[in-house]
Amino acid sequence: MSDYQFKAEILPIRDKLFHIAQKILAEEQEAEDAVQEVLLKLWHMRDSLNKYDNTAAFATTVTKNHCIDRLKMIRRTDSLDDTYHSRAGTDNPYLQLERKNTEEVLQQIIENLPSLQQAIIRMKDMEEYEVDEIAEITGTKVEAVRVNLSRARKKVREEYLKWTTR
Amino acid sequence: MKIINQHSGNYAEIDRLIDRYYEGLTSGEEEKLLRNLLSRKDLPERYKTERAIFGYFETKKQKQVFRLQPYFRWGAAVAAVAILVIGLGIQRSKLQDLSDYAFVNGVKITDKHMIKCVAENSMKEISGGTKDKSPKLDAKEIMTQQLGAFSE
Repeated sequence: MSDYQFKAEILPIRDKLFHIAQKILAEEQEAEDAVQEVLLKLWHMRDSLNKYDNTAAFATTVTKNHCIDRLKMIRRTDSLDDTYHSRAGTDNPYLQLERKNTEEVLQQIIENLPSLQQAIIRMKDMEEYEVDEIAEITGTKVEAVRVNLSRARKKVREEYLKWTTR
Repeated sequence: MKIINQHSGNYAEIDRLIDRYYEGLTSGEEEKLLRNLLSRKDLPERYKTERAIFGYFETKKQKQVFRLQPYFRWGAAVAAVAILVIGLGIQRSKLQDLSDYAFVNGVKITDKHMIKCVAENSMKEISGGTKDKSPKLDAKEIMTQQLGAFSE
């Protein structure tokens, strides 16, 4: 599927995908983030989208599955949160990483970012997309992408500093 | 003094770009400039974090390029085979060209049938032309006579 086809066929069903996401995830912001992630996922696999007879139906299925996974992850994080903190004590993942090199540390920090922030920072800082391109692909405002990108970059810095100042 | 001013000027630019970077405001071009400025070896310790982060992204970009290489390698192999096939084809057609023409009285003839007729006539003339009243000679005898002329 060409870039043009993607924008012509997938982006118009964004609202539909958002409603599906909101039904599953309930929270509006969660649903918005999920839809952006789904659109970025579909964008990265756009070359193979033509093999599906009905791309809209495929996008719907991807959205449902993604939201269900996201919901499971949220529930798991909530239930594990207390256990994790009580067991961790003064220890934290960075202590375990102390002997590892910078690259491994930064990789782990990025992998621990919320998935939408992770996708955006990868596209901007590794794949060299511009912010307005990401906004176009995800059907969002440039400012919304900037906010997520800024949060991701600041978080990477903050976590890296925690590790280096130990 | 000039050096200090130059450095402080550059640091101010680095600081400005870093601020914009963390706000998600930098363009690709600005990030490229920032990456170049951060790659300087004489930078103060305070830029260590940004140097590490930009260095990390740079290695990831290189890996992405490297991951594409197998496709390019396959592409190169396919291109090499194609060139070889085309080259052989051209060579073959050239060889065919060489075998399919003859010069008759300085004129190039490519028509196979005509070449055959001319060759047959020539052989007839050699072996028993109408003007030649000497006894008929076969090709073997002609060759023996020619070789004999060299050995004399």
